[in-house]
Formats: sequence, C-alpha cells, structure tokens
Amino acid sequence: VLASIDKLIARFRRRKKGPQSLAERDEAAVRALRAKGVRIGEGCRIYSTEFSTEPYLVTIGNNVGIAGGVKVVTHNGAARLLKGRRPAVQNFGRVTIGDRCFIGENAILLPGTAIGSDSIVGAGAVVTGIVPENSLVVGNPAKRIGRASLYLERLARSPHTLDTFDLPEDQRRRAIEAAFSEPGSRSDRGDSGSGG
Amino acid sequence: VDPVDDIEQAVMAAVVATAKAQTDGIGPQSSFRDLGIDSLEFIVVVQAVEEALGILLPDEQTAIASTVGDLIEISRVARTKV
Repeated sequence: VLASIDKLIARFRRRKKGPQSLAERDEAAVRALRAKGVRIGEGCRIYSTEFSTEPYLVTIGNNVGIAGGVKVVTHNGAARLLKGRRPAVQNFGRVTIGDRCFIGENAILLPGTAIGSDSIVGAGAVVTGIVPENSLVVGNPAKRIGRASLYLERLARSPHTLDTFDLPEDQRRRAIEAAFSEPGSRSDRGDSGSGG
Repeated sequence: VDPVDDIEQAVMAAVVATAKAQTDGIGPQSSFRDLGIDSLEFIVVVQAVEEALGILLPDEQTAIASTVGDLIEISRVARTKV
C-alpha cells in the first residue's frame, strides 16, 4: 500500500512539473546507461536501451546520436557451442563509438566494432570490425559507401531538412506540415535517411 | 552520348552502375533526380568516381551537383589540383 501511495505521489509530482524537455529526456537516458556501466561522453542523444549483458564493454564518445532499436552486442553466443569442451566458455568483444557519430534506427553493432569519429551508420546496418573516421556505412554486412561529410553536406541542402529541433510541438508541427503541404512541390524525392 | 575523355567516362560509368532509371541517352545534361539516384546512391557514385580517377572531390561543391555534367566539371577541377 505504501509503495502504491509513493507511486501516486511520484506521478502527481511529474504531472505538476510538466512533460520532460528533450534535453531532460536525453540526460535521463544517458544517466541510466552510465549507471549500467556504459561509458558515455557529453552531449549524446541515445534512444536505445539495448546495451547487451556487458554494458561496461561499451564506450561512446561526445555528441553521439543513437536511434531507437539499435542493438549493441558485446558477446558472441556461438562460443557456447564449445561448452562440451569448456563448460563455462563465453566470448566477448568491446564496442567503441567515436565522437560526433550517428547510429541509425535498428542498426546492430557486433562485438569488436570500433566506429571512427564523424561517421554515420545507416538504419538496419549490421556492423562489425573497424569503421574508419568520416565513414557512411550501410547494409548487412555493413559496407562503407563513402564519406559521411559529403552525405551531411547534401542533407543540409535538402528541402526536407528543417530547423525544428526543440521548437514547441505546435510550432514544430506547423513548420513540418508547411514544408510538406503540396506533395511534390518541394520534394527532391526525399532522402534515403540514415534513420531515426 | 559518347564520353569525350576518361573523366566523363568514369562519371558516366559510375552513374550507369548506380541508376535505377533507364540510362539510354545519358549525358551531361541528365539529372540525378531523373535517373532515380537518391541521396545515398549519390554518395556511391561520388566514391566510384574518386576511386576510378584517383582524386578527391570537395564535399561542399560536390553536394550541390544536380546533373552528371556538374559532377564531370567538379571532377575536372579536382584533377587539376592533384
């Protein structure tokens, strides 16, 4: 009963305080992951909670964005097939993400992945091994298709790239709807987004 | 349209290999949009051109290329700077 009352009070306090800002939400997500052992730099936005069973093997640099559904894997379950010979066997690998990277929706980062700074991982990519700095990688297995910096320059000029982040939601919606109000009129066929 | 030199040839080859749309009659005037080349495929085209010619195209100028001819011209300028 006391626990239920505590929950009610907590809910009331949250309501009174109003909804979290995006910045507050980002900070709370980072705090929760740091508490699990993930090493995370400053200015990160992380929308995934899947940091494997060894989150202390994950290192994330500064100003990194990680979209929802991203899975970071720090062990290779296949190693358990060796349990006939070694009953307690397990295999692990670090996952490192440099500064100013973006990891797209539902990407999977396998053990041993090291993503260089200023890189972009496309949605759904399955990444393993070393990704050089300033790479744009997509696909399964993920392949470097070019420079992330060129992709960003192109993206900056897209009619679908708007200055709407952190606007109040009603203003944000109006700006987005205005940009898409006449189908085709401002479209460049859209972007193959890296997702998230 | 027959390419006039190795730069045009490299750009055309990269575009033809990547384009989803019909590439018959492709020439400098062809736009990436009409060829069905989206933003990710554009990056693939540029990478292929750079590898074929052994040059590095500058991001800012390359990002505003909208036609095959634009990319040919940017490649010519980049080669003179190698």
